[in-house]
Amino acid sequence: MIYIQTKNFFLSFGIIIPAGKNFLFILSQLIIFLSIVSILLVIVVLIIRLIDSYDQRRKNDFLNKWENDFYHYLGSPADPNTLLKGVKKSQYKYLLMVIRDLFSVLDGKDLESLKRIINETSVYEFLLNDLKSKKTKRIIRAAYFFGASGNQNVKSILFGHLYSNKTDVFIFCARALARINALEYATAILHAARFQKELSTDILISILLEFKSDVCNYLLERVVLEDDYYKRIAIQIFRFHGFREAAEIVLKIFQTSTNKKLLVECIKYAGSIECIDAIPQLWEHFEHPDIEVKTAAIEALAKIGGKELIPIFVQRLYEESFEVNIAAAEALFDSGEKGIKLLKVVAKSNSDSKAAKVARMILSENFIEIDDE
Amino acid sequence: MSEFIKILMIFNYIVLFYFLTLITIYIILNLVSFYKVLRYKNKIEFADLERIFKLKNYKPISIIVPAYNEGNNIVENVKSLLQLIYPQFQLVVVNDGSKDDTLQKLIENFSLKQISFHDLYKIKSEKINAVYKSKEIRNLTVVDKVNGGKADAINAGINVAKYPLITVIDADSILERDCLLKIAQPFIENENVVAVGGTIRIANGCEVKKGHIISVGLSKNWLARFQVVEYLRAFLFGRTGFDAINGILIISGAFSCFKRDAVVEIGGYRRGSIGEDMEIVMRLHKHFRKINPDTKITFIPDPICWTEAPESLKILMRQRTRWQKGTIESLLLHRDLLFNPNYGLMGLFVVPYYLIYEFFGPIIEFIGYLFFIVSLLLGILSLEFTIAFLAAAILYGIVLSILSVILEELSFKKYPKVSHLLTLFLTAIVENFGYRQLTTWWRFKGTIEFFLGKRSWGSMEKKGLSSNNI
Repeated sequence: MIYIQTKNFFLSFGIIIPAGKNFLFILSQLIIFLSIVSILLVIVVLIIRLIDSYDQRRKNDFLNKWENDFYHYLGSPADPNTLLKGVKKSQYKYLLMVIRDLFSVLDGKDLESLKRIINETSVYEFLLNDLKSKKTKRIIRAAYFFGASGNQNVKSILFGHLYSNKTDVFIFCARALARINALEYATAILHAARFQKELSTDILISILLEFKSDVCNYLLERVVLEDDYYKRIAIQIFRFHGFREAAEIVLKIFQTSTNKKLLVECIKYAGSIECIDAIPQLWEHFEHPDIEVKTAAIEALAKIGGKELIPIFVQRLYEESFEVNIAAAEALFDSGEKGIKLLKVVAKSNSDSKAAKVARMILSENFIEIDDE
Repeated sequence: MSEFIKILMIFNYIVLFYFLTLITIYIILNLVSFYKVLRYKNKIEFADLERIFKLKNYKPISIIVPAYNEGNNIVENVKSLLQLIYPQFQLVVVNDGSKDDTLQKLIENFSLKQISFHDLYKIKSEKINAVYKSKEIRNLTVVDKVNGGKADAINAGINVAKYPLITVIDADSILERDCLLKIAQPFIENENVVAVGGTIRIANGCEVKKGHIISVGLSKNWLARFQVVEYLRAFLFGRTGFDAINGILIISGAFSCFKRDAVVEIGGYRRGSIGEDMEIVMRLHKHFRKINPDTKITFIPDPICWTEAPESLKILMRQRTRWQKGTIESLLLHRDLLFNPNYGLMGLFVVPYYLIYEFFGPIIEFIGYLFFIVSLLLGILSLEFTIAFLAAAILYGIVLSILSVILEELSFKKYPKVSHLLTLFLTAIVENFGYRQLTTWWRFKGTIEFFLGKRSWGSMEKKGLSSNNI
């Protein structure tokens, strides 16, 4: 009975289990098939390796011939087309490999010479075709090189790719636009980013940080008109660039916003540019119910400094939240001799209290003895 | 007798069904992995991570290194870890009550000084005796604690971790210098990522100098070679494939990275766990996907961490039985994930896969071998059929192994010589004659031992990877 049920079960799954000789026949066919597949796969791997070795040899031959001229060319005003005279199109991939490795290590005149190879030779046409193609791999490669070489001619094509449904294409093209410092596309990048479901804020910020610091002026012009998301990202960019001109507008946002993430960004910005005008508002946020906001306010005030804040930091050592305690202890430490003295007093005061433990920890982490006086 | 024969037949059908479904799953995983690995490779080629991570909005990392009796290699390993490329990281070495001179060597070589300590997150661990910091190397912290096992040591490390990301590595792991850039990238790419696993490769046979892989090679020891092929299959296919459906259930303890706050929120690692690396991943899935269904635990196929594989049968057996016990323990602890549609394809497909093929797999395979022999002896199965079936199964295993070598060849090309490839092919064939059956037996043994209550971690002696060809 069970046997029949089992058999029916398998049959119900569509697995027809043949019996006897039929099964043996199928198995033997399967063995032949798998044997052939195994052998073919081994051949495939060996062919791949063979192609790779051949490619490597061609690359080495190319480099041996070309390397010397190339290093003479670097940093010189020579025409890059002369350098590429003997280079065939089929060798461009080796050329690009070399250039890619050098882009991250060269600077100054050498880097300029490298950029000229991309911008002023037939390599440009080669990469342009890549950029216009529909293949992600080719677009990514072209966007990388045009971005690294600061090519101004391809901005509109790169912009066209911003609305691609492939996140990788968006990232590489937006990054290229940013490296080119195409300011006019900064807002477009921010807007197109909203259509990328798989794009994180951190990646977007890393893209915008590729722009030169003048992107801040551009973002500042629009920040009031835009929504909280835009504001939050723009303020982060201001902070990373230490852009003080945004202080007035950021303070206004700080006064009116109820969005926690935006508040934290405003506070961090105020701290990073040591904005004295923000002190009263930062002070208010000392009492904010959210720990993240409160901690950010303490850290910001610690950066701005001012001896009158020291008693407030000491008070915060006795709060419930550890994050706040540690931020306060670090703020005291950063505020100099007086703060350190007070930390020592707290550390010695009541050895079992949390405040004393935190104070001792911060002092000891910085190798300051409590009883050294 | 006829009833017995019917049972035999039923079981043979079950084995057949098991085999056919496994083949189907592997084929799907293979296809997905080819797509994912090659896509990753295209992306990473021009990612320029080192430059991007200099753009200020990186996330600092605390690297936690649990160390137990690592006196021979600890100084060299710490020195090599301090050379990792990343804009800001803290190295936390946790001396888990070593009986050798691990702590003394650290104190002497890095001029450590005891500091006052207060655990930041109150995750439970055995008593911390002292915390040390180096005046010269400000990002080095050493925790000395009472022995409590790996999970416990990691918890102690988390308690002093300052940064938002924590990376947990084995003290004897050899890391690629840019591994932190690569493992931190998914956290930047996707805010919902709470954990990332890296690909582990076998370092036996590689030339190691000052904690870095100088040249990749293959060990002369067959056990180590078998594990090379096994790791290629497991990481390039298994994990990459499951990653596509957010179904990673295990990220290797040899190299993993987490959002610190996420780990703190779930109370850290489960102390005393046998398979702590799988258990924490399942718990993270369970906890965070309830709050946010988009929570992701992901995996990068880049080979960024190299580890020493056991070269003796005894130690390998201990490792495999422990892994099996760990799998069972985690599956039983989190059985509510099974067929649970709230966890998407992970609950509906991946957890049942682990239950059938990882938990019950060794039992079915082991009894399958026995029943095959009995069926053969009783004449239920003909010799031709048995040989043909085994040949088909072995050939299929070989095809899978070769596919993983192809994927390695198309993507990372870590094995430079043609002789390495030929050795890998040979290994893929030879492993089917004894090694696979042995691992099945060890996993079966692990299952039995688990239910008999033998659940200790067991010791894992290693030769060490310091500055030599191993």
